[in-house]
Parts: sequence; C-alpha cells; structure tokens
Amino acid sequence: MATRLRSIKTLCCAVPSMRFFVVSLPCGWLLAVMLASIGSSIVAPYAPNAIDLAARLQPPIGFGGNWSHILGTDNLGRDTLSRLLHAGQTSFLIAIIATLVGAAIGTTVGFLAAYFRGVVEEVIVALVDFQAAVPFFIVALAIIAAFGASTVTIAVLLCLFGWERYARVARAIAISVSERDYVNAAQLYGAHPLRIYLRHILPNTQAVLMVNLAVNFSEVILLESTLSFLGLGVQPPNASLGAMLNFGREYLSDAWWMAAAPGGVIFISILAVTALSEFLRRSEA
Amino acid sequence: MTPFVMVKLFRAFLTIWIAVTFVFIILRLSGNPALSALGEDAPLDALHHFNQLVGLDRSIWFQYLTFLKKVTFVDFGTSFRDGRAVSEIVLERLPKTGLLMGTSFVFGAAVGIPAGALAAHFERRWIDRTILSLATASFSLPNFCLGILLTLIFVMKLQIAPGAGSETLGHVFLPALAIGTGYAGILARFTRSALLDIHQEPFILAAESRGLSRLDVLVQHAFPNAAIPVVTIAGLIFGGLVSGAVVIETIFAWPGIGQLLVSSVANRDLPVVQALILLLTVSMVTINTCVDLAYFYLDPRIRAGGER
Repeated sequence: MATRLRSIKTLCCAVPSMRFFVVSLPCGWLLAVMLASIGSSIVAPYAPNAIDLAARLQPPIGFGGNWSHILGTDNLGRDTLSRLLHAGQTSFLIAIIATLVGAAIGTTVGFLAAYFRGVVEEVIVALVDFQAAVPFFIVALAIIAAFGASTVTIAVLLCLFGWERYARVARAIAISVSERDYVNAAQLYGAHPLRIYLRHILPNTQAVLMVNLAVNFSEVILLESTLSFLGLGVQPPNASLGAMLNFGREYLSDAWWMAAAPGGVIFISILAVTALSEFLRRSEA
Repeated sequence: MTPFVMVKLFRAFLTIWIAVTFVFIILRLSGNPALSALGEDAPLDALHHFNQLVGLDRSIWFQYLTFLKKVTFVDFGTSFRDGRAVSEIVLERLPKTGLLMGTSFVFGAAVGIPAGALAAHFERRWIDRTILSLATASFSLPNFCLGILLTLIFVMKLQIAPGAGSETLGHVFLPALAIGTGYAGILARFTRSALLDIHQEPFILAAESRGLSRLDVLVQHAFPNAAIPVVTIAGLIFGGLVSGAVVIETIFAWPGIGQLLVSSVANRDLPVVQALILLLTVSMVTINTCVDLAYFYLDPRIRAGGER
C-alpha cells in the first residue's frame, strides 16, 4: 500500500528530465531558423531567384552534390538553400505577426464580452461556439473562394486564426478577476475601464496566453503552409515554405530535395514549437 | 425532452444558422455574383436579366429569406463550371470521401489506442518514452508532408503502390496512411493520459486488490471509464479528418469532396463551395451534438442534472 501511494505521488508530478530535448534544442532551432530567415539577404549564398542553367537539378551534399549548393538546386539551377531562407522569411514573418494580431483581437473580444455582458456577451459567446464547432480551415476556404486567393487574403485570415481560443480565456479570466478587491479599489478611485483592463486584468491572462501563443504559432505555420501548398495561400512572386513544397512536388522523381527541404523545415519547426508549448503547459500546471 | 437536450439542440440549430448567415454574408461581400457568373465583360442587359433571374434586384432581406428557404430544401443551384446540379456533383463524390475517412479513422484507432494502452502500461519506461516521442512526431508532421514522403518512398523509389486515383481498393492505403498517422498519435497520447488518470481511481485499486489480472482490470474497469474523455474528442477528430481529406485527396488525386472543395475554391465556383461548407458544418454540428447527448446517456451525473 505504501509503495502504491508513493508510485501515485511520483505519477502526479511526472516531469521528464529531458529539458535539453524539450527546451534548449527547440529554442535553438527556432532562433536559428528565424534569424537566418529574417536576415536571409545577408546569410543566403545566392539571390533567391538567381538562375544558373549550367547547374540545374544538382543534388545536395551527401547525395552526390558539392559545396557550391549545399542543399542542391532546382529545375532552373536556383539554389535551394537561398530559396528556402527567402520562403522561410515570408512564412515566419506572417506567422509571428498573425499570432500576435490574433491574440490582440481575441483578447479584446473576450474583454468586451466580459465588460458589456448582456446581449453583447451572448452574441460573442455564440460566435465563439460557432468557430469552435467548425474547423477554421473550412471557414478560411470559404473566405478564399469569395475573395480570391492572394497574399493579402491569407495574411488577414491568419490574423483572425484562433481568436475564439483567446476570447474564451480572456472572458473567463476577466469575469473572475473583476470581482477581486484590487479591481474594485481601482474602480473606486475612478480609474478608466481601459486602464483597469490593461493594468489590472490583462496581466492575469499572461500564463495561459503564453501557452496559447505557442500552440497558435505552430497552427498558423501549419495553416499557412497547407493553404500555400494547395495554391490558395501566398501567391507568386512571393514564396512561402508551403508554396515551395507544392512546387517541388512536380519534380519529386528527378529532384526530391526540392520538396524535402521545405517539408523538413516545416516539420522540424512545428515539432520544436509543440515541444516548447508542452513544456510551458506542464510547467504552468 | 429534458432541458439539457433542448439546450443542446437549440445550440446546434443556432450554430447552423450562424453558418448559413456567414455564407450568405461573404457571398454578398465578395462582389457582384452576376459578374463572377457571366464574366467581367458581360453585356449590360445580360447582367440585368441574370439579376432578375436570381433575384438580385430585390431587397437584401428578401434575398436572405430566399437563401434560407433554398438552403432548407437543399437547393444549391447549379455549378458555375459545368452547369450540373450542385447536390448531384456532391452526392456522387461523397462515398469516396466516406471510404477514405473511414479507413483513416480505423487505421488511426487500431494503431493509436493499443499504442496508448501500451505506453500507459509501461509508464515512464523506454517503451512509453518511444511511443510518446513517435506520437508527438506523428502529429507534428503535417499530413501533406507525410503524403509527399509516402509518395516519394512507396510510389517513386519502391514502386509498390499506386500514387494517384481510386480505381482499386489498393489506392486507399497511402492516402489513409497519410491522414491516419497523425490521428494515431493524438489517440495514443489521449488514451495514455486517460488511462493514467483512471489508474489513480480507487475502483482500480479495488479491482486489483480483488486479484483481477492486469488485462481484466484494463478491459473491464479502465477502458469503459477512459472511453468518456476519448468520446469528447470525437468531434475534434472528425474535423481533423475532414481537413486532412481536403489536403490528401488533392495530393493523391482521390476524387472525393475534399478535392472538389479545393478545385472549386481555386476556380471560385461559389455554389459548390457554399454547399460543401454547409454540408461540413452540419456534419460537424451533428457530431458534436451527438457527443454531448452521448455524454448525457453515458454519464449518470449529467443525467441527474449536474454540471459537467
């Protein structure tokens, strides 16, 4: 019985001692990829659209290639690594901006529901339930069908992604916190509602917000690359990882690295964010 | 009809009504339907005739009510592309998607649930660690990346599987594998944590102390109770299968509604798109409502009027 109780205790606080794999490695990868993508014009060995027909379809190093093109070249002799960095810049910039804007929109909507209550709250809650019941991917396809596929459409869509998750959390926290004494005190001093929400209620959402940001970030990357992969997202001449993968699909039998390079970056990045978000969630619990 | 069931049904109708209204609003925001149907340089009288034919010359409220009426009677008009009735096009593709989603789901459950049970059994040992890592990797790997990887390995290099089409039963394997792998991962993790939660309950201890074998405890006492949280994610899984089918059908040229949706969106064939969006919404809402009602019958605490 005693050993059983002990095993239950160890079970409750089961945090694997794999800090290196779930924190350091993912952080390092994400930081490296983002820095390289954002500084792609400095880091990249070639211009992303520099055509070199003499060096067409060169395989990467280790598969018969040489150091002049580390990740090989495509059907027009463009350097895969340089194009990858260029595409990564679009994908990661969009994902970072969209995640932050989405959090701001969702949190604001949630606070509005908590502040006004009544009809406003009912409408917002119904919309949140609707969004939670229908996959955003499907809603996104409907909007793209109506407005046409363009880089602007996808950017706006990604900014709206996940708003219901933030709104739900923000509303719940705002409602429970607005009963607290320090909020009442601030109200008695005559603080503006905006000040109360920004200074006294917003900090309470921080812990959940961090987890949601991490989860949302990987889902935004996934959604953007999926839509771009289907040809409905980022449009040429802009490149994104998904669009590059879609392009590489056509050359799968001759040049697998054209698809493997962007696919690998998408996979490892999502894996890294997943590991991080799970670490955040565990350390919060 | 208890209040609980009534509230759930009301919520379901509300969600579907919001979806219908949403489709109506974005269709009206997207520009002149006459121009998109007849082309940018259609003659004026043709546009006028089209407007009268479709009812676009009436007030917006009249149009909205007409739209609601048509949707209620499942009348979505004809496709812009080939002029056939939308319901006919959708119906002939539905069985293919059903087959693909069904196979993916069976594969995901057949691999994921036993893997999760195995991981829970060997908790914190190397088997558990391996299964957990594989599960995390499998749902972090986007289905389109996996689809391309499978094509590369099984179609291009080994040449043992067909890469496109749906002529034979063998065609279903690769796309089902591409959709199902992520679900196997999610189900494995979910089953594992549900079983571990259950494992701390006193009734498991009681069953063990009565001398039941570990398998008996698992099958008779742990699984039925672990099933309740797993049922919760049924709606989530269905939504994921739908999104997965949309992408994977395109990669493997599988002639289902996912492929139809992508090509209709790319060609802005709005009648087909709205029919598919509403079809998927209604299926999602139906599944979610069924899950809620299943809770009602599975969990005596809710039936007694308690809060979930």
